[in-house]
Amino acid sequence: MHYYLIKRLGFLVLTIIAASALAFFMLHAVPGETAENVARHTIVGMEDSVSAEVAQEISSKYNLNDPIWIQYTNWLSGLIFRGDLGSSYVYKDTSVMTLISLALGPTIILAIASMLIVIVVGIPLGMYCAVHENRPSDLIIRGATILSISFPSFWLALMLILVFSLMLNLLPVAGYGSPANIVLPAVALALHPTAVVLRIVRTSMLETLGQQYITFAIAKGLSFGHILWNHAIKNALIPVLTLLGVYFGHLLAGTVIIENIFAWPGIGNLLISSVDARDIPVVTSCIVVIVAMFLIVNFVVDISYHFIDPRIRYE
Amino acid sequence: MVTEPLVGATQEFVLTPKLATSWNQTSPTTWEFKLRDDVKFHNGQPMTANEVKFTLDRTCKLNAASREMADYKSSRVIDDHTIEVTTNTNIPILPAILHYSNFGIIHPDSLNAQGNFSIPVGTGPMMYDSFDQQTRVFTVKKNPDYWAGTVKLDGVVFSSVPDHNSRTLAIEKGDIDFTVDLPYNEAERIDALPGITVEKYLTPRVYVLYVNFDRAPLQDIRLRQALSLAINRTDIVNHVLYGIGQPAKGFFLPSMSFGNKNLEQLPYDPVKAKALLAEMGYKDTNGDGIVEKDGQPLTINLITATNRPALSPMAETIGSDLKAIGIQSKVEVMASAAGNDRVSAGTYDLNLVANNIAMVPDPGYILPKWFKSTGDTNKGHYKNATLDAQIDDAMHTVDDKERLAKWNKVEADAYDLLPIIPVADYGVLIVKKDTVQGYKFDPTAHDYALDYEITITE
Amino acid sequence: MTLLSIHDLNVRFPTGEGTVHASRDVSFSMESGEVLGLVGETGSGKSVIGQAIIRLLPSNANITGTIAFNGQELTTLKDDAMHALRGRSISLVPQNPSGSLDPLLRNGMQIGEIFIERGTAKNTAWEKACDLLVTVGLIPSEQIAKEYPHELSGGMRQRLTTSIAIAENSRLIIADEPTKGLDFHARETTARVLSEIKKRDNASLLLITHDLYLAEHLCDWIAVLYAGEIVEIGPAGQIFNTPRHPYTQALIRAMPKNGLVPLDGQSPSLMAIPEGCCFADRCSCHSERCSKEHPDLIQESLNGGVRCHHPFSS
Repeated sequence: MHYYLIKRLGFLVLTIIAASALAFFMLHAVPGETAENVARHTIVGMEDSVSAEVAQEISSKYNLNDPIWIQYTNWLSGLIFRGDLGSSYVYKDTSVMTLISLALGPTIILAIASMLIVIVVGIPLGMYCAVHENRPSDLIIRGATILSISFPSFWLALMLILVFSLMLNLLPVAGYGSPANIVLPAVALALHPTAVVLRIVRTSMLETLGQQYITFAIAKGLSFGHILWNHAIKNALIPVLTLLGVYFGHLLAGTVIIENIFAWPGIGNLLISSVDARDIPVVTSCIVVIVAMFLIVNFVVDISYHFIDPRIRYE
Repeated sequence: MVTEPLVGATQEFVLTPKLATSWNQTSPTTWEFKLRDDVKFHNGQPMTANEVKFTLDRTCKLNAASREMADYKSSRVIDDHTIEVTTNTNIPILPAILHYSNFGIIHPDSLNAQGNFSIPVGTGPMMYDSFDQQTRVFTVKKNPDYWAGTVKLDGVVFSSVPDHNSRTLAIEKGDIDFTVDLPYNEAERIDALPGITVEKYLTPRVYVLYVNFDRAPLQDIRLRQALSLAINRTDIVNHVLYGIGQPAKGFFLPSMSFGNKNLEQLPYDPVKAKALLAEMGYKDTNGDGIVEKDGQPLTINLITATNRPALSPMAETIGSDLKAIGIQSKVEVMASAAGNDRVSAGTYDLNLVANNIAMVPDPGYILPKWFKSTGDTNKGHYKNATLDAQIDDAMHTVDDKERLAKWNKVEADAYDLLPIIPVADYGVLIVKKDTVQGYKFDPTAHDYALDYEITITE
Repeated sequence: MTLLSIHDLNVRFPTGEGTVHASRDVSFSMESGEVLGLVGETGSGKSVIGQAIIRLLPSNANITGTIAFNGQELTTLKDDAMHALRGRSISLVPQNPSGSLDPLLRNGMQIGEIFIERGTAKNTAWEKACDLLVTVGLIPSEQIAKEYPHELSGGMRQRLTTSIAIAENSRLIIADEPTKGLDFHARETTARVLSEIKKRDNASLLLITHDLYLAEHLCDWIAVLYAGEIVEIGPAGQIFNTPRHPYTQALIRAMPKNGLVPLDGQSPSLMAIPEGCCFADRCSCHSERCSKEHPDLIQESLNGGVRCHHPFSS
């Protein structure tokens, strides 16, 4: 187990380095001078054209004239030796750490809220559908999941606003801060994963209910409720756990479209605006944080298997 | 709203006194500004020449655009309400430059102990209340001691809703009182809603085609004229811009006092355009609808960026207008950074952009940038010694009237020569509830400003 | 007294391609404390009979005939009454013990949950489970109870499921292929455990098996199944010593101790039962009559008979 942990940790570090390097070098490969882009986004009055002197000034301030690998090594050594992600080119030299920690909170809150919806709605309804296989209620619920999977999330988000904010006047359109603000973005984000999780839970549950240990449990004289709770659900949820981990990882990576529609100050918004302004330290750091969170969530899922499924032991 | 500059401007872009009551150029490189003596900062301190010097020094040190425009050297406090500003060269438009919002006068208390800007302490009708670094929600409250009059609103909350559709829905629901920039096609529907008004204004920005003079045969004036004649500007404004904006008439907005009032909208005349091409030797010899010369079809590569919503449909429309006169047009839409690279590499014929023309309310702001061989924005490398000389002459003419006449001539000549082909003036949408009263659009603001007389009725 | 009496049991499964007639006109009876073996090849319909008794057939199965258990008709019994019988009066030792154990449950709990669900305290249930593990020879029981099914060998899992079947002193234990897939040693152990149970509880055992060795050791009665029907039924000694049906003879000849003589051919599809004798195609002594006329079970007694036009005389 210790060896396994060390191996996973090593993998995490390598992945982060690889992802940050990829982000760093790709940003430099994208068309457009970095310094010029930064100037267009930071200097009021230079949106249309940037003078060569200003571009040069920015380049020398942030060492943009150094070879890319030196710039990258400088950034990486800052991260490794000082735990420092550098300073933003765009937000008046605010430390990237500050920017990310401000954006991470809203993203995590939203991810957790969406995940709760996915779990509280997707899993019980999936179970319900499996137990009521092919009855009208099952068909109706599954029909609804098809709808929620096939419509794009931004459209669903706007429809939610239209119905719950405009027509029913229950919730605010956009914003961050009050508990009412989280409802619509969380639902908009949760719709798709809930539908997928519901369907997977249903399939997994049906498969589990067909297992011999369920038949044998009936032969043992156990009640249906007992079999459902103590055998079927536990076994049926094992494959779902990985899926939940993947979705949670995705939600933690921030969701550009939904954050944009609901003016949610999360990491997706930060990432996109920073890509646009070529704020390389912020983009690279966002990617590092996103990758790290994704890997950590998956790691936690893997470790939880260790506790849930006795057949799985990590050596 | 929180800070104010020394110099104001009317909706016609005529300079007016603001924190300065008067100014005059005392030598080619020095200016004297007289300041109001009844202005107090939000911290209760009176505004004096010391804070003005502090602001000018700081702005020119930190903001490259401001420094370059003003060519600022130093300033000297003459007395509490008089300041002398020295520039490196003769900058006749310095007062106009000082109108720019970057030059809003702040009190040194705006900086924290480390010398970094923390909260704005200005003189405006609203005072800083709070700023949430996370949500970027900015709130201001009424300045009870405002020098110009009684402020009617108790405060304003500025929140950022980046998505167009969400903004539209937010004002429809009534979450917000005032917003800007709806999707163009929504303007009519929202305006028809009870209790909400959509107003259209022109902002100092024009849609223009930059011409690449390194590419033959764009150097030929007849081709540029043909291109201009091929563009149906009225249709573009009506159908691409949904009537938000108007066909260009000269290089400036009709409302700008300093524009050349004799210039008319450039004509739409595809027949004449074809005749010009024929005169150049371009004829459709193989019947494919595209004109050729020496067996080579006439091809125009038009690029534009995605950063403003109307650019892409406008480029497509212009592309089909060009096809109609027999030019094989190739339209490419890309991210603005990619567009900048193409412009640097010179691999394009026309570049459709929406350019600000009066960041500084004076013709001396944009005309040299566009038309001088060394101009910042002259990315098409247009070179015309006569025009260069005219521009230099105008820039350094001290007499206001005389200078204006020279600029009008430069504008008219450029309008004939078409180093840049103007298409349309940029329109903006202001959306407000009917309860919002006393709003006056300020076209000289960059981008929007609320003045102290705005209020909300119940 | 008669514990189980089955009369004219027919089980049909409708499928897309036709009806599978898995069990045809099966009749036999069992007395308390007796062991009856249902033997035959894979696909002969043995397991279907066991599942029909404990009512675990899929819901699409069509069942006719009667199954009387202790005087109660099971085919028409209400679900909750049937539920009350399972595990208490009728138990199952399932085929494939590996798949029949919940992989996420400790071995002790696989047994213990039966007691817990019926109101026994958790520790008491755990102790009872450990006692049962001892009964089937799973020692050290405390340790094995804490482990999970995947940590046991095939034979141990077999004994674990057996211990579950005897948890509540059922009157009838249906053991479905208890030696399938086990090595010789594990088969021996299983045979020993089953015979001990038989002695201990005076329960009746319905042994469903293709393992004639096991059947010979345990059974009082043998019913030989072929293509869904009983072709011969009688006391075990009689069946093994003087088999009368050619198929029974062939099965016995195919036992390892008798020289492993294989039987050629295949049994007919249960979807297309031939008109005459089902075994005719593979029978060394069939006549023209055999192909045309389906033989009846010539019943000498309730549990004694042969389904053949040309039986060997005893």
